[in-house]
Amino acid sequence: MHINGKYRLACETQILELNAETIIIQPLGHLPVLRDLIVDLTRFFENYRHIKPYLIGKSPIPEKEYIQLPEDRSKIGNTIDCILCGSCFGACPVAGTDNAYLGPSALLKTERFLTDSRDAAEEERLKIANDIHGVWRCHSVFSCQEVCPKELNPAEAISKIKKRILKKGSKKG
Amino acid sequence: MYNFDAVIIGGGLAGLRAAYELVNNKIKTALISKVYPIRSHSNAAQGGVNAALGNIEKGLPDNWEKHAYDTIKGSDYIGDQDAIMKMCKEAPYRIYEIEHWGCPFSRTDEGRIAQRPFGGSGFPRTAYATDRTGHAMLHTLYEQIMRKNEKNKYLTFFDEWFVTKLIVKDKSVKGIIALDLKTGDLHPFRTDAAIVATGGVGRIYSKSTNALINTGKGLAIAYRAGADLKDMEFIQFHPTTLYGTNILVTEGARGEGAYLLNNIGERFLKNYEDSKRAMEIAPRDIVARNMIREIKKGNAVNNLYLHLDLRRLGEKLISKRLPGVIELARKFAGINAITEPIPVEPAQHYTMGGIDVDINCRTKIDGLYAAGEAACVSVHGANRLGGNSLLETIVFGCIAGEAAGEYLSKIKKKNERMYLMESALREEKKGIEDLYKREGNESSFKLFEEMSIAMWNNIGIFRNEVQLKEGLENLKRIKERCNNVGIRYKGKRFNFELYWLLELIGSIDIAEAVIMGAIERKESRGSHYRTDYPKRDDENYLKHTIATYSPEGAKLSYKPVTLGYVVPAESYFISRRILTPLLPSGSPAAALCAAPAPCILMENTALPVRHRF
Ligand SMILES: Cc1cc2nc3c(=O)[nH]c(=O)nc-3n(C[C@H](O)[C@H](O)[C@H](O)COP(=O)(O)OP(=O)(O)OC[C@H]3O[C@@H](n4cnc5c(N)ncnc54)[C@H](O)[C@@H]3O)c2cc1C
Ligand code: SF4
Repeated sequence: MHINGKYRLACETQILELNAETIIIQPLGHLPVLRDLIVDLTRFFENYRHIKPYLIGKSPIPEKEYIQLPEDRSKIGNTIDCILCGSCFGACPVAGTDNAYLGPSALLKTERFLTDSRDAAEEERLKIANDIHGVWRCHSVFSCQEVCPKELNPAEAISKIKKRILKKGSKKG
Repeated sequence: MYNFDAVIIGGGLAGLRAAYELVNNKIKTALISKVYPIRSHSNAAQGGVNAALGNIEKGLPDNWEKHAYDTIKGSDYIGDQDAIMKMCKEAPYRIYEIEHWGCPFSRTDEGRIAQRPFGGSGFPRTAYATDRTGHAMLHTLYEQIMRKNEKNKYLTFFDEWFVTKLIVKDKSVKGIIALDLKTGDLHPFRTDAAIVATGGVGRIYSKSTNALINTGKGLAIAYRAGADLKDMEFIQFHPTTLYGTNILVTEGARGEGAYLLNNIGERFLKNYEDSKRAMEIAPRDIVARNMIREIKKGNAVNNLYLHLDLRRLGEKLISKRLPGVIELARKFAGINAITEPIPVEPAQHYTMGGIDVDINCRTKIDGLYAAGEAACVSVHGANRLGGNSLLETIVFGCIAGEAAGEYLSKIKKKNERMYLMESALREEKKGIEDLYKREGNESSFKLFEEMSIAMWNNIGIFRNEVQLKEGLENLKRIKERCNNVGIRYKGKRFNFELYWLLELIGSIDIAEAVIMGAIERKESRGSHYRTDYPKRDDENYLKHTIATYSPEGAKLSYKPVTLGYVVPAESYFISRRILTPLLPSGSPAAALCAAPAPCILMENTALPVRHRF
């Protein structure tokens, strides 16, 4: 929710810390309001589903676990923490103007799977992100990073994806 | 009217795992959850999930039988031993499966799933994803269901829908009724199979680590429709939760060496016979009881709470091993845990009891299944081991899905039930309209609070006959006052006054079953501690409490515990070889004992991996 000028998780925001006489609470931005502070998250979850938010594991699937060294595990150490709260989406000015924009959290999720040593779908993932409503729509405003309650950095993830695409020389849009 | 082959109530780990199974078998399924599935309480689990993988050097000789033994012992011998063995045997399969699906487990130096020691286990057996294991598992399952559903669309999600009624006729499931919270409209779902995966009932207590959504309503729906509840009196209490909000402060803090202190900074656990040796790392229930004793003695800080002191561990260790604790102390108590002690108190934590199901998650109603914390198989008995409940959700979630699928393939689909569904809907609609019309001056929020405070005071960590009976009387009064709840806001969208009233009515049913079970269990076992009967009594109470709904209150009966693997009285381990010939042939316990152990199979390269893509 938008609380005194900033997107925050209402459940953990301490009133005293706001240090204010008046507290103004508003619903998450860019999404239709259903009632009071409740918004319709359909668009947010459609974007999430669009980017194939699941591991497409390498073959062959091992008998026990995939071997993933601690240094490889640490590459996904941050991005797996996303709780899909939507704060970044609400704070992103681009998500407000482009209805088709995938938005910071969906693209962060893309990066989460791109960096997972067990994933085998780099090409497919880059194809989805490589779109005018995908990574190229991001103008690096960094509002997402500013508001993320889990201290994640979707903007950085987006720029990493851009670099991957450019390296392959297949920019679209 | 919606038409589905199966309906799952609940989108936590158990519900999602069941959904995966049904969708995989191309069964048209609805998953109904009052919150978005990824906001389910499974999210909150921190510590980890148990499986005898043997990934840690020290844990190499670990195997599923040892896991089963620890679990049986932890259950204080009232867990069903066949079910426990089944769970522990399936555990490695389910963990590898969810790892293959992308679960980001923490790793050993060799890149294997890391495991840590947990209370009550003989080995480092608890697999974990830092201190966010539940979050990692829940997201992984949700993700893979998205994948499965992308093409075949067998699953339909009803997010922010609240199930209010289960329709049963001739002892079999016919449908359910659910309230779309967004519109306030009731909708009937015609279905032959329903799986209840609605989680624990923690919020019937005012002090609980559970989310506000864990009210027990899901259990109440099944209970009122004729399913039984089992062992409801067994409620686990956690010693260290943040004072006020009761957010869990992981056992890991004490494991790392934090002290528990009273108002004069004394490690008071040394003054109690049962904790003076192990001190802070004594079992959960002992520490929790001694904390309450200390508070009652008047030795609490500000007369309210005790201190959990991490300071001596030093900044480096705290930030590395307990970052979650620092974060929650800062955010929710405004405290810097590196330089200040954390105010803590015990609180309700886990529901061992639940809907009475057999080893295949079946209730006594055809087509009705339950899994996860909502169910009582029972694998936790009188006390749950940390790390076993996440395991239960994925093992029995899968089994419930399988069992429902099998049932559906056997029955003849009887589609003609329009009349039944319509009359049930009419009745439910009328009930809700009547609630809307009420003008009474009681508030559902206020009554919920009163009920949960009464539960904490009367049916808490210490119990005795007088208090329990007083609790029952209190509850009856609150139940009557429910008739006087007025709904001031008449709008239909997200009407939380109405919603909480519906929750409250369910919670009261459940609270009553907890109290009745506790009154009649005149012994102390696991989490159930009776000051008037402080000893375990195997002769009279080595049995499950069964509560059956009646409008006058819960009717109690008892069921035997499935034994046959570990002998309660002497608590030693009998090897399978000795035991197998002694078991009644054809019994589930005998079948399990006779089957080869997966820990041997695991060495075998021909081990079938389930659910390859
Ligand atoms: C703070 C905390 C830490 C824990 N840590 C651990 C740990 O480290 N290891 C471990 O093994 N266990 C742990 N546990 C226990 C474990 O997390 C739970 O037992 C488990 O996650 C329960 O999963 P579930 O799928 O049964 O239910 P839940 O995840 O609670 O899901 C219940 C679902 O039911 C839905 N629902 C309920 N009622 C209705 C209704 N009427 N209509 C529609 N939908 C409904 C909800 O929306 C939700 O989706 C912990 C528990 C807590 C409280
Ligand atoms: S990236 Fe951060 S702000 Fe965005 S949805 Fe995830 S947790 Fe929320």
